[in-house]
Amino acid sequence: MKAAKKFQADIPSRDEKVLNLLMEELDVRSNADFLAKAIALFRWAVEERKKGCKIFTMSPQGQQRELVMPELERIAPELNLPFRSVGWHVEELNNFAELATKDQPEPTEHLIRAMAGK
Amino acid sequence: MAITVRKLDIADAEMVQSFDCGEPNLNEYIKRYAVKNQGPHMFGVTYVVLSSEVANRILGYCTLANTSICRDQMPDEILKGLPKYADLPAILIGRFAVDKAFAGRGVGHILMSYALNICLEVSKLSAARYVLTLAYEGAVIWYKRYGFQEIPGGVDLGRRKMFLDLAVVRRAQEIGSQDLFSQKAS
Repeated sequence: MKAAKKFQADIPSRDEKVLNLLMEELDVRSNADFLAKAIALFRWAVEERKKGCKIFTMSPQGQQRELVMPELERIAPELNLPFRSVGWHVEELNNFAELATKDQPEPTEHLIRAMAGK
Repeated sequence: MAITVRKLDIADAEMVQSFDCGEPNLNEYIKRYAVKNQGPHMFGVTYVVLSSEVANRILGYCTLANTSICRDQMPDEILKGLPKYADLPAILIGRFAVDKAFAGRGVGHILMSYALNICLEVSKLSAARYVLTLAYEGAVIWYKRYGFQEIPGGVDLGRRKMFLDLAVVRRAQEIGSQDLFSQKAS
């Protein structure tokens, strides 16, 4: 088993109060346990945002609120891309039409590995 | 090397200054225009590759934007297989570069993997059928490894148009996930 890494942090007194309150509410007994749960929650949020998923809460009445944190927005891919036009020569368009209407080749080994994240 | 890919940030303005892929236009773009084009100008979204082992360096970057291919100007006799819209929607890989110091270490492959996954996600939200790139002469062979097809007929500022059908990318994703599944099962 890997040795545990020591983690030490100075926190302002107002955050200490919040920390103690959260630990009490969640019935978490140690700082280490609290940190492990906070990491798990943060890791989940990061993975979701990396996939482009937004994070919402929903009230019992169905009202939604989105979680927006600058750190999470930084890692989220932008799926709403701006538009940029590209100039085409007529010959290029003709050649593109010919290539695009043919049966497309099977994916290459490189492409398969790229899409599998390998 | 632990690598992450994320959107370019205003805070990266200083970090981009040391980027050198050997191609002056691509160096100039990341140093002078990428942040502006992502923010106020809205011309493209830039993604950067970073490593926890190399502080304050961008290993590579690419820029994505939506674009379209004008169907109206194509000859009718060869248009039978294409949808009947005036413009064919596509995603443009406008810039793609790896810093010379990190070339040959798989940075381009990671970035291409990230970019094509985004292209697939974008195509689910707004229509997109093709990935289009403007490849420098020396990179044409590299793009061909991923299945990009060269479109003959013109070279603009030393760059050639190449395309990849997103249906092929989707098929690659299916095959890739089947491979992963069979590896897990065995």
